[in-house]
Formats: sequence, structure tokens, C-alpha cells
Amino acid sequence: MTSPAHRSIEHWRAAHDRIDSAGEASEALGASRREAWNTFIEQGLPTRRLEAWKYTSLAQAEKIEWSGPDAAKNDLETLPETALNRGAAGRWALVDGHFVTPPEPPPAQAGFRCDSIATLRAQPTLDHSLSKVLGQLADPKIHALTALNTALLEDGALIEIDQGTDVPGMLHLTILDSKPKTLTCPRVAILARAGSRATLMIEHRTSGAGPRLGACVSEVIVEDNAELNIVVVQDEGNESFLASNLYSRQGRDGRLRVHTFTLGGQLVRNEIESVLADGGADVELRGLFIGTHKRHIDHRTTVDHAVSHSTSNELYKGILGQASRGVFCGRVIVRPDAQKTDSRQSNPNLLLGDKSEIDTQPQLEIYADDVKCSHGSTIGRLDKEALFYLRARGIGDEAAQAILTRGFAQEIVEGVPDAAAQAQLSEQVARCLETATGAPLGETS
Amino acid sequence: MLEIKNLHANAGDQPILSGMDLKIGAGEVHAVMGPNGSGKSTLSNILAGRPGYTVTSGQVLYEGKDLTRLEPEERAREGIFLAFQYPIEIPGVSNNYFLKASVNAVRSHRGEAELDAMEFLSMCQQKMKAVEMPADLMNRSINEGFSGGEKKRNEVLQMLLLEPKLSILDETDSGLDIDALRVVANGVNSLRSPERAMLVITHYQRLLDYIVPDRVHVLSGGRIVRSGGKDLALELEEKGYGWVEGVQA
Repeated sequence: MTSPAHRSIEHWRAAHDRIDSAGEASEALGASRREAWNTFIEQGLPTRRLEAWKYTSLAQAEKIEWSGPDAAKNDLETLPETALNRGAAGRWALVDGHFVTPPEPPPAQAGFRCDSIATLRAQPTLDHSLSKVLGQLADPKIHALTALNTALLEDGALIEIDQGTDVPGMLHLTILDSKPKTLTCPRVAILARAGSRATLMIEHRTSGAGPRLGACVSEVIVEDNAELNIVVVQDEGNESFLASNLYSRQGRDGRLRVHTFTLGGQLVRNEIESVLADGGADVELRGLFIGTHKRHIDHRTTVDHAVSHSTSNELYKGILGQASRGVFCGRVIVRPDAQKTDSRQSNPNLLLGDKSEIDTQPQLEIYADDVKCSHGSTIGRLDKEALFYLRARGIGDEAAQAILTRGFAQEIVEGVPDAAAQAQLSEQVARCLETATGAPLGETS
Repeated sequence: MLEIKNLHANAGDQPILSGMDLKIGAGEVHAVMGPNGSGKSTLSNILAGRPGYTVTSGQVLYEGKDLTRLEPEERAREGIFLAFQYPIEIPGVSNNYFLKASVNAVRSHRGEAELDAMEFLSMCQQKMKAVEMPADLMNRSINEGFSGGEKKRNEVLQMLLLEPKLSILDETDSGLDIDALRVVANGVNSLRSPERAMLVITHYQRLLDYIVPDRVHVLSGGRIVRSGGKDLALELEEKGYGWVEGVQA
């Protein structure tokens, strides 16, 4: 008898062969897919024996037999409606990894575009913008899940903001997993051209019950003087395993802010690798993660200050209720030439559950001497003085705790540049907190 | 309204109050003065129910009932208000949201209908004018980045909104310039009425020029060592606390 893990890999191999046999206009893409499959087979899914996976185990996921991603259906899904994509300036979706054409495509002069990677791949010459991003930052060799995603790369979304364009409102990409016990490999390539400004929300969701496994890879290039906000909202079902790897590279005076809200899922692993490749580049990584039940949420960030005069600022806030577990590992590399680096990192956490846990760890590797680097993490309960202040004004103990917990979360919500999105997120965060602070301990798996 | 009988109380493990007696009737304003370490803050914290402060013996009766059995929020709903010496900054919670939650908690306890956002706003606007509070402070996080004067105005605004029966002002004058002091005192004085009582705790006589007390008590070594009319405050100012400590010895 073979194990579910072995059977999963056979399904994935079949999917890889199916995609590969369809051929490729770009020989390089085909070669990298085959190479990525070999890498994945060599490495297998990450285990806790790896230092980077010390606190996070995929053992539960390996007990399930996962089919491989299916080919796109002819009758493409319709664009999912979510509370967050209503009113977006442009909205698209990847359903089970496949691009869904929007019913109302933005006008050609909008200054931005979002295209199916499968469609672009089918063209005789590879789209120039796609070739600037796809596979340029995500190295399958150093991450088995990036290897898996690349080995099964079939479709995905290329989002490009034109040079000098200031996109009003918010762009929105839904990543929806609709099939139980099926691996999906959503792929996103984002190119913010020089001098552009935009906000993109990426919303991870699941529909229907049953376990999900997502290995998502995003590559983000922020050119000189561009400013890009990416708001990631992870609100998947409570049997979902999601690994999301985001790779970014910023040019001179490029600004990138990534706001990650983790409100759902059974196990979520987020990795961000940010390279500050030119002077004046500024990255802000912000996160709010809320644990309920036995949810496991792991954030691992790497900020690479490659040259002088770049800045990074990280703020990840964890609220862990019941028997949930959080992990934060913030790695900062300051290269020998990266003088005048200014890097800040902070990870305050609220432990609300008797059985909740957090492991938090900064990793600073500083090879330059004229730099400012700070980091700090706190693990605590609610501030007693603040609690007393609210109670002394007639607000009951439980209500006061709820108000303070929301207040703790609010700072991250307020960082989102779109007012309508802020209001909606604030509501979703509040709902999630009700579960984290109130609901009895239940089984999720 | 408030009757303190032979009160002994600890701050943490430290005995601070040792046999204090004080009686405040409706409509009266009492001042408690005393040097640092005399037990002024412990008194206000005991009355408000701050965790970490415990009564070891004696009694605190509020409207004839044992106050020490009530949780802090129950005391507030029953009409006790402590204006904090150091108002707490709470990031992420808007002042407006907080004040509305507070007013509605007290209203629903009194059996009154809760106010909706519009009703609360119009109620708030009047009171804000009274303490000369800029409108933008309502949308900011509670006390975050407020100046010393703004924090104290915010305390008095809360007091005006909640209309407490017994107000306790803990060193409300500390850190205030003379203009802010006048505004704060005017706010407090506007609440004076035959049904309400106030306990003004202060180190300095200055505040009592603006909030004129009916009675002045001197706290030293954890108990009242001298009581008198408002002139006692002036006498203290002139002779210093050494004088009453001498009396005590």
C-alpha cells in the first residue's frame, strides 16, 4: 500500500506531464518547469527537519490524498463576488489557478491590465512584460513549494501598471479554491512600471467544505519611483492549508507596502522575500494574523538591503485565541555596501487563549557599519491599565477586552490606503475576533 | 453619599491608608490635600476599584451600600467617576467610539434608551464646547498624542457626559497651565448641584481657587489629621505640610 503522500505526488506528476506535453512557445519556460519538477521530487514537501520549518509541520496535509490541478474547463467560472471586490477599479480572479475573464473588462486606456498567463504563454513570442517578471524572482531551487508551483505552472495572472499611471481606487484579484482535496498552484506576476501608483488587493478564499491545499507564488517588480500597495486577505475555510510565497524587487525610490490579513485557514504559511535593489527603495511589511481554534499561522520575512540608503519597516501583529499558534521570523540582511540602511521590525502579540502560543524571532545579519536596525517583539495579555480605564467608565470587562483587542488590530487595518476596503476589513476582522475571543474551543480538523 | 470609616488599605503589599475617616454629603465639595506619599492616590484608587489596591479593614459606604463589593464598571454605572491623574492612551480605539460605549453602558444601567450615533454627537457637541475641546480629538485614538491639557479636558468631558453623582478628581491640576486649569475647573463647577458631591484630591492649593471646597481635609500618614473650611487650604499653602505633620506628631 502506498501512502496518501505518495499517491498525491503521482497525481501531481500526471498534472505536470499533462501541462508539459501541451508544449510551450518559450523554450525557457518549459525547461524551468521540468527543472522545477526535478527539484521538487528531490526535496519533497518541507519537513520540520529544515530550520525554516522548525515550527510548522505539513504532516496533517500529507495525510490527505490530493489530486493535481485540473486543466481549465471550457465553461469558465464566473467572477466571484466578494464583499471586498465590490466597487474595485478592476477585478479579476484565479479560480483553482485558472484565470477568469472579467465580465466588464477595464477600458484599454485605463493604464493597467491583467491578463491570463496561459493566454500569454500561447502566443508565438512571450509577452515582454511577463518575461520581465515570471520566474525572475522566485527561485524553485531554494524552496520546494515554489518548485511545486513552477512545475505545475499553467495559468495565472499578470498585472501591469503602466508607467506614470496613478490608478484611482483599488484593483482586486480573487484567488478562489473551489475543489476539495485538490492542490492548486496560483501564480501571480505583478509589474509596477516606473512612476506608477496603485493598490492591489489579493483575496484568498475557498468555496464549499473540505480540505484545500494551495501553493501560491507571487512575483512583484516595483520599478523606479513606483508606489505599490498590496493588500493580501487570507480568509479561507477552516480546513485549508495555504502556503504563499511572495518575492519582490524594488528599484530606485520604489515603494512597496504589503499588508497581510490572515483571518482564516487551518494552516497558513506566508513567506515574503523582499530585495531592495537600489537607493531610496522603501518596503513596509505589515501583517495582522488572528488565530482561532487550532489555526497555525506562520510568517517568515526576509528583507535584503542590497545597496545603500534603503529603508524597511515591518509590523506584524498577532492575536491568538483558543489553541491557535503563531510564528513570526523576521530576517533582515544588510549587505556590506548597504550603508545608511534604516530597518525597523516589530512583532507585538496578544495571547488570548489558555492554549495559544507564539514563537517569534528576529534574525539580523548586518555586514555594514553605518546602519540603523531595530527590532522588538512582545508577547502579552491586554494592558491592565487600559482595561481599568474602560471599566472605570462603565464598560463591562468583556466588552472592554473586545474593544482593546479590536484597537490592537485596528492599526494594521488603518494602514490600508482604501477607505471602503478599510471599513469592510474592519468588519471582517471584528467577526474573526469574536470567534477568537468568544467561541468555545472546537475541532477544525 | 460617601462614608469612609476607619479605612485601612494597601497598595500592592504596602499598607498606605491606616484608619481614615471621611464623610461627604450630597451637594458638598470636599478637598483632600496632602504631601507626596500620604495616601491621596491610594484613596482615589480604592474608591474607583483599581486592581492592586485592597481594603484590609474598615468600611467604604456609598449611598449606604458597601462600595468595595462592586466591580469598577458597576461603580461607574452607579454614579462614581474618577478623573484620572494620568489618563491612559489607547491606540486604535477612537475617542468617539469609547465615549459612546461608556455613555450607553451607563444609560442602559439606568434603564434609559441607548443613544444612536446622531443623538450622541449632538449631546457631545454641547459638552465639548464647555471644555473647549477641538472636534478632531473625537476621531483620534483615546488620549493618543493628546497634550496634558487635552487629556484633562477629555476627562472632564467624560465627566460631563456621564453626569456622575460622586466625582473624584485625582490631581486634576497637575501639568495644567492656568488657562487649561480655568477651563477644567469651569467644567467641573458646571456639574455642582445639590444632588452631586465631589472629592477633589490635590497637592496644591491652586486648584481650590477655582473649585472652591466646602471642606478641606489634610491627609498625612494614611489618615486625616486635620479638617476645616476652605481657609485651611490657604493656611497650608502658607505654612507647608511640615506644619500638619508637626501637629500629627
